[in-house]
Amino acid sequence: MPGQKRTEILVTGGSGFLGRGIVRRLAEKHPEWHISVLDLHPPPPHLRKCISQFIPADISSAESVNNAFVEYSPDLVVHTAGIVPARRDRYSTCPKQWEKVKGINYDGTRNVLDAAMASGCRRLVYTSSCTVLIDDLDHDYFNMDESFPLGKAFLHYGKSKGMAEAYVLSPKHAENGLIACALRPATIIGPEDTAVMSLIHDLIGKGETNFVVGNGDNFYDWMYIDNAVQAHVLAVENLLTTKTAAGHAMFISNQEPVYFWDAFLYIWAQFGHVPKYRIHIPTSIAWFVAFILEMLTWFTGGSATIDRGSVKDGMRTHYSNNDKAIRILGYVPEVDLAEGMRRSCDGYKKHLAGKAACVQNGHAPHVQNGVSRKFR
Amino acid sequence: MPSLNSIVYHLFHPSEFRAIVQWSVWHNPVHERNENNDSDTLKKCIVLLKLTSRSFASVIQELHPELLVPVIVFYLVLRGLDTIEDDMTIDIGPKEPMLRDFYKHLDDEEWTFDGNGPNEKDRQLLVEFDNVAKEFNKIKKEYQVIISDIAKQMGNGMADYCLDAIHNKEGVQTVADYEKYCHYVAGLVGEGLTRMFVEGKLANPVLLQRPELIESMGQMLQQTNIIRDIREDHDDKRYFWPKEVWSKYVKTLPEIFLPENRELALQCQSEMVLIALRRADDCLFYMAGCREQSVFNFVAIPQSMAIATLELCFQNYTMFEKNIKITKGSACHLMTQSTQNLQLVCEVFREYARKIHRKNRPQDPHFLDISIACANIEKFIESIFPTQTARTLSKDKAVAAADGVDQDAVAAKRNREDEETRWDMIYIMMAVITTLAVISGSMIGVAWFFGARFDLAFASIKDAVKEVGGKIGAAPSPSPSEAVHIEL
Repeated sequence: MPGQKRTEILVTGGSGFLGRGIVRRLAEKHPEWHISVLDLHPPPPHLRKCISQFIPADISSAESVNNAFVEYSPDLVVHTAGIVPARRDRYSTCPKQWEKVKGINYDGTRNVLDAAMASGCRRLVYTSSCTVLIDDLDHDYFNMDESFPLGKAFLHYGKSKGMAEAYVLSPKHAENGLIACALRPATIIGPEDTAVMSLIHDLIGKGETNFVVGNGDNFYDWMYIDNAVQAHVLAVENLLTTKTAAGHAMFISNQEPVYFWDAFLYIWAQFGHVPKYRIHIPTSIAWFVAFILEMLTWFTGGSATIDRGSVKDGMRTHYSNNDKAIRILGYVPEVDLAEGMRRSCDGYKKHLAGKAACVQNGHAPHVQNGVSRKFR
Repeated sequence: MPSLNSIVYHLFHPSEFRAIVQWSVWHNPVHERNENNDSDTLKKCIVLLKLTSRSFASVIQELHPELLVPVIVFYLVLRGLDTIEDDMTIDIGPKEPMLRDFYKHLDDEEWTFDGNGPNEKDRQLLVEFDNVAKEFNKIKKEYQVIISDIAKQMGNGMADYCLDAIHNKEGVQTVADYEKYCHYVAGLVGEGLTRMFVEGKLANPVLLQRPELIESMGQMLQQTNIIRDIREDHDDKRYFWPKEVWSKYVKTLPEIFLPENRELALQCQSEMVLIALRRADDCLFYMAGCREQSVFNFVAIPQSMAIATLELCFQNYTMFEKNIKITKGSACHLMTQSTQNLQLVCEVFREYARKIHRKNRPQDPHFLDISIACANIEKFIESIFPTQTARTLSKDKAVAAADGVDQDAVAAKRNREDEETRWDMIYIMMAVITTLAVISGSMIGVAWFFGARFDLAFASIKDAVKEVGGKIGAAPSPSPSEAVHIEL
């Protein structure tokens, strides 16, 4: 550690769901540190007292990022900023969409890392994603760990995150003295999350809660926000002290995979909705229906409400083995999944109530900033 | 002689009948015994064993010769303690020292006891206890030490419960009390047995360093019995469900049986099942440490029965109305599965975990916890027997791909392959569609040639569509395409 100087930490995407949590926790745990936020949008007012500066920048623009690092050289960068294509964009194969996602997730990461290194910074914690492995849709990943080969992911999100992760951990940067690690969280939920919750909650309104694709015995992996924050803070501390995490990618999750549809059923039940009946749609039929719809929309040029991607995603199993993060970082989830789910639902209830109040008062509903929203 | 009822039942459940036949025809004991060589006292002990145990008698008799007599003696000693504790006709005054000092006269070949009430079903055991003592004196010193140590601990535990006024008046209070009770009546048995298995070199000594695994074995069995027997125990005015749990649902435990509390009863039941279910992965872990086949069978059969019983009880209100138990057919199937290897027992656990998961209702306050607990059982099984199917990506490929390969070249190659697969797919689909079109076209053509009236068919289809359309209009429902839609 540089002797007298205060430790400078930069959190990109610090105004986002995960970033806010990391900033808050770092400030609580290490009040002597200087924490800066780099984001497209300013952080919410309550967070401003935790940070020493807000740097507005668009990570997809090299110029914008370079400007941010003029006369600023942090000791460590936590790079959480990114875009998560959700809903129908998740399975998109549109090249334009890919350019956009790649521009933020891959080029954005390059911009941040290159500018940080040019400024003299040599430490980086990169928020990767479990999708770097699982976004190939064709495989089940039971108990996956870091020894599984990457490179199969073709969905825009996982592919772009995987490219960025490879860039961050590439040996040429290590040769130049970079000490970096990547964390691969599962889908993160929390009281301030609106992306995942709204996705699941909206199915009630659409009357789509009665259908199960496949046998419903497949697993899905989740992570409560506090645990994701904890893992990031541990990674920051590790790189500033023992540096044993350098060069490693690590899966992190709540270590409580749960039956995919049960998480949905639980969330729906928290909003007073229990499907009266449930129809299991055999995979082959669902796949066929999706295929026909895709063919139709291929002709008409729209995008299908159901596609083979969402069918495959709903019936497969994936969950990660966190042994490496436990061993290197000492990561142990502090909030269990049942409690985390409950808190997340309560948070979303408040969000909905707030939205309803806004609409009643004639204001436009509060729009969440989307730069670093995390889904997966 | 089978009853008419059971004949009719098995006519309609042939798979269960098959399981019974298979078990009786194909099951051979791991260790055959020649009973003619048994001493008179051992013969007597086996008679007493059959008298006091319905479920354990046969598995105990198939145990490895090294352990056979020690385990029979151990079982009868504990059963003797139980017979004293259970007997409400014995006053607490004499009962307490009897329980505490029981271990002292295990080697006393003269000691017998005929003070049990006439209705105590196992009273004969204590009347003829001298036979047990004679066999006790014949077994290895090491086993004697274990048996007497456990008998001492259990006797003291039972005596403490007899003296505990709150326990007697209001039943079990906290979950910790409940688990402590289960420890005395079942956890200690597991400890004694494990020590004997390790002493006989028939189980992995590491088990002794993992007391929580041993504890879970006993806890899961005993808790399952306590859950299942709620009705029977209520009829006897004995309550083992902890107040900490039931007080969330009803003011007094007997109220749980009131018809108006049906929903609350099921919620309380699911919490009890949850507590037991969380022990299941430990049990599998423990069984992995049993080296010898007869020992494995001995520990696996009761555990399989336990998880099947938990599944039977879960979300089943009948449990509050009468005593329920798994059918003989299921029991035979479970025994067949549990007397082979760990992988098959894991399959049993996975099967029942999934059954519980499917019976789980979102209305239940423990829905998510139960789902996580079931998934956790599957996750544990996955960690010892990884699934390998066409859909799983194995790590082996990782080693080849991980190092030293040019990433760009790999990516380019993959893109090329993807492109090829995509075109293959398109060609196949075109071929399929063309074939279907040709076949259906020619069939329609043939039909038309022979004078089929398509105009009439179309008209009636139109009518039917109108009719259905009218109904849908009256009660709007999502169109199938929208309905199947999931977004993620």
